[in-house]
Amino acid sequence: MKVRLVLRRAAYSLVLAATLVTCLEAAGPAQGLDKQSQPAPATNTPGSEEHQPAISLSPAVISVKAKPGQSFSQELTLWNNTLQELEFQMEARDVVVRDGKRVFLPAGEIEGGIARYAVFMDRDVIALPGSSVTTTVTVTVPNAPAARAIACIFMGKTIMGTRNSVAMTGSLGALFTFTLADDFHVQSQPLQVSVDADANSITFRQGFTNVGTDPVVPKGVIAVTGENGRLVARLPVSGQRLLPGETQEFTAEHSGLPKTGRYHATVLMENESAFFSNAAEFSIK
Amino acid sequence: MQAFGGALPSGATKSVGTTNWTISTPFDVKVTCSNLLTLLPCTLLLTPTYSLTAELQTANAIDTWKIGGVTLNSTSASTLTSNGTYGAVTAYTFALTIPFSESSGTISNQINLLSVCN
Repeated sequence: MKVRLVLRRAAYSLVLAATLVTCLEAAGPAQGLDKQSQPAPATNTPGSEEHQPAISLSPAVISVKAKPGQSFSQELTLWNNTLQELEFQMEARDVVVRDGKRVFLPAGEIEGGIARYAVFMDRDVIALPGSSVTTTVTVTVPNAPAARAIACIFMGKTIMGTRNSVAMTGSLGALFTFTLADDFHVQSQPLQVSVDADANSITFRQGFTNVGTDPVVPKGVIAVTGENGRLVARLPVSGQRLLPGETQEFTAEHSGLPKTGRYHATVLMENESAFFSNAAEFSIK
Repeated sequence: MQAFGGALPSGATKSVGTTNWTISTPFDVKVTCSNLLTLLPCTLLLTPTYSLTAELQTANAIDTWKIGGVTLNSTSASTLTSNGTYGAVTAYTFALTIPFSESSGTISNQINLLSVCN
């Protein structure tokens, strides 16, 4: 997985490109923890992508299943695909949801934060142009963790761009989520169905709020059945990560309208062993 | 640069208020994402969006630094977007507001942009 961050426009000559990549089991699970990360990069070596300056981080998302008191280690690799030598300072921040948005709080700012228990092998790292640098973070889950996610960040210290540009530094963070109690509870809002006759499409919107204590990644399907119970459409609903307290809207779109009549839409989402469902009626006139 | 008169760098805009003046300049942010094993876009994976924050590196209690209307500070990261869309070019405007009461001199700071997958 790869993320590129590009700042550009004529106002100043800063062009920053950052590529964020994830890899599958970059390092084997340590100390008995069940750790999952996103699939590995295959083509993120410097210069392999477009010829834009870029920095890359692998992995980008790591899901950890653990118990309080356990520790694990994870390698993080940053590629410097720019022409500059880049200096980074390693930093962990707690990721919590406030007013519906994720915020990145410095380690130690919240009680029960996990970030303060993240120890990096190297505090400062330097990535040479066209090269990569790897460091290891070891995280110990505290006894009563309040947060369920941290970001382990390569905090940029080198100004990217030219002398005449706005001084900006680029940073990339790997998201670590922690499942500690298998407490997967999701509250659903009513399923919204919007029929757009002009666009000849139906949009389904389902809001979910994570009311449990562990992160969830619900994904599933929406099934549309007619009055006779026959399946009319089956739409996949992509997964989205919900941290505790977080709300997201899941959408699916069906192109084309079925014939006139009443229909029943059922959304069925799953997260590990937990299932969430909701339903709504709608009609095509 | 100065509030009254003087030349502006290419791409910069100046506006003069009653008690302060502001220089601003646009920039784009584009974050792309793809799984390099499966080559699937991230929208089909478990991190369909990204968060982008900005943070000043040095405290500045006199001037106001903004990106996209969001005031930046050096004590915490300000969220520019919590559900950025991969592949989309998002236009932001950087703006620095300087009060007339401030003495002439160099204003220096750095802005750190941080991207984390959701």
